[in-house]
Amino acid sequence: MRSSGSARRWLGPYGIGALAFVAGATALVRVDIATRREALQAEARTAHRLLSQATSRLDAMLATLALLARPGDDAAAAADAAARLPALYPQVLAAWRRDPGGAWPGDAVEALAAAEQRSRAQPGNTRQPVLAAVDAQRARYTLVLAGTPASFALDIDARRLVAAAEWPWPAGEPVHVTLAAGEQIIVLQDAGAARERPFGLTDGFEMRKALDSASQPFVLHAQRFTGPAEWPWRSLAAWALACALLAWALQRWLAVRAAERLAEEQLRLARVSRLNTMGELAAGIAHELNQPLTALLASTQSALRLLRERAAAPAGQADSDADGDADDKEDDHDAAAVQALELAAAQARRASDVVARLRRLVQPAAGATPAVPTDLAEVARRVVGLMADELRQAGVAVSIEGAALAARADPVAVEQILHNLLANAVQALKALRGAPGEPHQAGRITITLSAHADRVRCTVRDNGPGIAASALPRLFEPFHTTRPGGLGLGLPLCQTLATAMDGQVVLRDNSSAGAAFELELPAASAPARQPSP
Amino acid sequence: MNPVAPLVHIVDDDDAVRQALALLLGTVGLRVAGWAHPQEFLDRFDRESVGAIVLDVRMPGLSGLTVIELLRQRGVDQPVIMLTGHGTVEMCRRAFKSGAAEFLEKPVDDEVLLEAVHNAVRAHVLSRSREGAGREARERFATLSAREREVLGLVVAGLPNKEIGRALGLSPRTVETHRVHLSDKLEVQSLAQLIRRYAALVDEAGTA
Repeated sequence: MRSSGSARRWLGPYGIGALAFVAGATALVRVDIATRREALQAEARTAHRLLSQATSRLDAMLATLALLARPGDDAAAAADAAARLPALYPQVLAAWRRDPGGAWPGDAVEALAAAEQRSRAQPGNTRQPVLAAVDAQRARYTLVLAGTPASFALDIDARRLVAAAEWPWPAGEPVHVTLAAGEQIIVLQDAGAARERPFGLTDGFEMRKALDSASQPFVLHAQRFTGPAEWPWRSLAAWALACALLAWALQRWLAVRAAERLAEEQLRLARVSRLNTMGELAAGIAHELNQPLTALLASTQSALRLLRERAAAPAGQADSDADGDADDKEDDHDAAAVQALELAAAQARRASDVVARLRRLVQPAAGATPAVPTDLAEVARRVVGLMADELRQAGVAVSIEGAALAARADPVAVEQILHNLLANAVQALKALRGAPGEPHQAGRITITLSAHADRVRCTVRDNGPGIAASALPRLFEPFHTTRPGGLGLGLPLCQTLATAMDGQVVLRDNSSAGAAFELELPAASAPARQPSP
Repeated sequence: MNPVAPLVHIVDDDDAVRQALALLLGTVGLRVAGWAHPQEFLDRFDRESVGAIVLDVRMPGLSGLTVIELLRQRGVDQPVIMLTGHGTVEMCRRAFKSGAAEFLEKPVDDEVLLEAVHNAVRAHVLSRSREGAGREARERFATLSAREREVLGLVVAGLPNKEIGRALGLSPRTVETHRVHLSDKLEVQSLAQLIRRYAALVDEAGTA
């Protein structure tokens, strides 16, 4: 609870929102990159399959040509048939036939002848076409199959091996696709400017795989350039917006909850305060009534004693018989007076019983306040927090000074005492503000914590006008107040609460420059007092 | 025995209470001094007087509990009866810890208060007279000669004159003379009195 609270304090709702955004955005980009990588691999596999099929088809084409060739064919007709191939297959730029004793056409005669030699060197029934020349510049290569009676060669446009409709990458994609045969590299698709890796593009992903062809040992290489420029910016923006909204909502929620908590705390303090004040009120009334009742009972009983003494004295020791009647009358009067006084004494006792009952009714049960180690600074901060509105309205600044101190006390009682002392200080400072005309001084309350041996002290000092000398003698007595409408129970209550914790509240300083009340309590480290049985 | 009658001090800031209690104590013939301010009482009352103190707990300035603690610190031996409007267990505990003789709730019944005051005064008179008796005995003991002290020591130890004479190298007759002298000086009529009043002092002097 505590640690999460401090984490929240450090991070704040917007911090949490930013974290959520970073985490979500990273996931989004990673998924996007992974998707793109898989897409490239799938596309590259398709390209590989199509290219492998196309090269096999060329092998089959040459094999068919060789198979159909008969010795003594009409050379012209045969050449014509071969020449019709490019019309059927766009990838075949030219098809050549060389009969025994004939020569290869074109300008690469030597390469074709060498390739034919290599092809012919293979065993007859598994004879394969052989790559004669590769013209990377023009993306062309020639394929030769030696045969009997005639050998055939095909001039191939590598870029048309796969029909444009089947080619997995549309033009303009930042994808670079090549076929490599040794040093020669044929570019099938050019990524163009992307190869220069302008801002926002990286090497991206690539795939390299040899074609499934014995005759055309090309290695397919596909590289996709990618980078921030291709990130899913729209999704990221949406996510950023969502996070901002979340953070805002979180902040609102926290603010509402904090306000609710504050209200609850204030309510609790008010409830405790009301209860304590009632107790103090009853105690005050009890004291105020008990004093006259004590005097009343004692006086009545004194009178009773005097009368009884006279009655007990030997009757008529100095009187003559003539006064007998008068004596009797006097005795009657005395008896009536004794009766009246006894009645008065009984009523005084009855009144005091009522008072005692009232007090018992509101008095908390003994031992109801557990003394636990209580951090005075924390309690002070809490009370200042609870009174924030009041302090702001009164324009009073509060500072808490001194180290954290642990007292052995009931935190609720300490809270109540500090609340009362602060409320008194605020009242004193309001009087300061009230003076018209004079440039009013800023109200200031200083709460100072200090330790003295095994006692700890919490001093509440204000810079108000101080306490009038006339109010000093009865400062801690109930029903003595300088405030119109005040009950005069605040300080007596503080005193009662402090005394119950083996502490005290005293007026430490008082001058026209302000008053300082001090709450003194046993330190938490002090040896524990034996609870009274 | 005491030339001056016991004096009861009532410390209570409430005039009516003070006067009424004074009246009540007066009905049984007690001398009463009333004090409205605890500080004034602490500063001015006569510590040597015999009597008791009736102290209210709840007073402005110094509380009764503080007053009783101060009294004890100053070594005042008068018994203190605490009066309170409402006594808590804690208050009661503190009062007795500070040596209060009684702890009574207001309003207090005449018989309860008078009994408490009587008991307190009686206890104080007794302790003062015991103290006084001790002082007198000490003074008389100091007048004895060294030889008389030796004889007294052996008498208290229970030896007959003959044995005492042998122990000190005196004749029984001389021992008898010393015994008469020291009995006169110590103002005792019998051996029993002698032993009861002076045995402790002899031990004290012997061990000193």
